[in-house]
Amino acid sequence: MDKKVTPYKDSTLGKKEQVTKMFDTISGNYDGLNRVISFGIDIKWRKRVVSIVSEKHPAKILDIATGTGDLAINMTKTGAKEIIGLDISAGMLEVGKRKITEKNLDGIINMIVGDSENLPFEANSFDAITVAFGVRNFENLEKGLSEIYRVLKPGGSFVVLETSIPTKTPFKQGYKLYTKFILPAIGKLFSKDRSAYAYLSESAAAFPHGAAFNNILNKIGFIGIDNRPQTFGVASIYVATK
Amino acid sequence: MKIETIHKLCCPFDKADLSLTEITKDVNDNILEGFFVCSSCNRLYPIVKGIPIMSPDEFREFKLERPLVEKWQKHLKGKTFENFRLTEPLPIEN
Repeated sequence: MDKKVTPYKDSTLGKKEQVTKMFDTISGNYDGLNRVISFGIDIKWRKRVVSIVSEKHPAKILDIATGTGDLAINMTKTGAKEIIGLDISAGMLEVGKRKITEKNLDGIINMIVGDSENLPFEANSFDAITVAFGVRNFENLEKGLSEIYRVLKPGGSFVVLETSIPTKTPFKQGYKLYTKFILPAIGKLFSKDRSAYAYLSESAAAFPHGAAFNNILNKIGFIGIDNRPQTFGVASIYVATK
Repeated sequence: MKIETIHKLCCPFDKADLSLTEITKDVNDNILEGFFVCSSCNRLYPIVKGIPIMSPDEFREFKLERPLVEKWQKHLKGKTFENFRLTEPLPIEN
């Protein structure tokens, strides 16, 4: 088993507790920081996820690790009647809930503080489930994915947006420099919690991406698995069906 | 939180049914304050500012939740909130 990548290396807390603490700490600046570290490209990637999910006209969507609710808010464009955003960080959800109320979307989007590995829904509840930049924070990846599989309706779509690592020169080298030196420095400008931003890039490097992630989805039982690298491979969109 | 959504929730740990106590609602009938109790493990999940708190025990903060639940005392039907669960009070020892 690989060594676990956690936000606070000296902490004796479990990975999930550390990730919760980290996101509670950085929630206030999180949206602004995301725009800066990805040069705003994350907005484009989220739009692609919305367009993939829209293809099947889902009525009920669950967005896991919804954080400040960006993807859940974008998902209203699919025409879904009900969208639930779930996150373990109450601090992130509080920021998200404010955004939802400002946009007058309280009738469509509901938020729940909860754990992706222990979902409070009955089996076969959702037409589509999305996770953007969240699966790499799962403490037990297979348990989280199995819970997602359980609550997804047969034939429903599971769409994941996650950072990945470019495999081609020179993007591979450029990415390494960026995540090792530039990303933590930008993080420091936004937040005193430097270790939080170092974690964001280290956990991306350790996460099984591309074919490795496809294999895990397959093992859980998903079918029709496809991964689509985005922007030189710095992120990937995975699409699977139950 | 919308009442239709609430009715579809179950206990995240044993997937048993939840019973809902509504305390405050907004003009659109969305629940702002209230709580669920699991019919199997008796865990109590508060709804705060319209958001249900359904995370594992180790992520919840008893110190923050207890004053809130105590405020709802009359809805607890004589039970006490301990270890995130709603339990019958212990008999007083002689």
